[in-house]
Amino acid sequence: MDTNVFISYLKYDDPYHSDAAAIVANLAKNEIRAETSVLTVLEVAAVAGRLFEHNIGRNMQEKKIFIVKALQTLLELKINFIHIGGDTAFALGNIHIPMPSIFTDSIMVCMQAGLRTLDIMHLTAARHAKQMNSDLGAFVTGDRGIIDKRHELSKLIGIPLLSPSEYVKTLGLPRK
Amino acid sequence: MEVLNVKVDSEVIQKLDRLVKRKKFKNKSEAVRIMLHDHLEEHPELFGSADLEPVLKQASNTLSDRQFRELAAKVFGGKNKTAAEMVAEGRER
Repeated sequence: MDTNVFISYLKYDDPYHSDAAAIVANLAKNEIRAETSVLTVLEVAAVAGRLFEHNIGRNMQEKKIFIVKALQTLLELKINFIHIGGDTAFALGNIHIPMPSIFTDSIMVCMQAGLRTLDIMHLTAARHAKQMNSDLGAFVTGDRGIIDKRHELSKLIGIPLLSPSEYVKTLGLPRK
Repeated sequence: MEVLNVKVDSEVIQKLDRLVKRKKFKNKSEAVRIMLHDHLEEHPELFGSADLEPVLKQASNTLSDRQFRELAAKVFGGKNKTAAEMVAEGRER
């Protein structure tokens, strides 16, 4: 699950809000399972903070409370957070640079997919999750740029890429 | 407020005296208080996520789930951008 699905859940006028709400409701009932990268936690904090400042104001304490509440809402969903732990050396010739494994894996994904850095890292996490858990059925995102490249990207991560609406429709989940 | 006794180099004392003389602060106590406060505000990473515990407590006391949903509607609301576009904006820089 991409970060934007969770933000759609909190954004009541979003085109995917009903689908995101259906996904969250079914997660709560254990009808479906979801995984997301730990990057989602960071992105939710960043988006919540940035938009709070833009739309509400710069009161630091109120902003902190809003971010924390948004994170609490995310963390309380029954989601598994994918963390590709440890360091791996990225090697080119005789040069070896130790770096977090998510970076090394993402560099390899860059060879095949032309996307933004964090998109790549989310897809790398999804690929890793699929390798760890063969039950994983789809990567769900509302990002048009990613959906438009779904054919090449789904081959890369080993699962179909679906919009929240397509996912809800495919599983026949009741929309909220 | 509580009292904190701290030993510092005489050079630091001299600098604080200079700031007080220049009317940047009322006295050395205020100078140290403000500097410490600002430093701790600017470096939340010093505490890791443990620093969020009091905020979480405050959030539970002051922002109900219903109030959070209403606030979220204002923060994320507006037809000009979708959730996906809001998240994508943060990935572009």
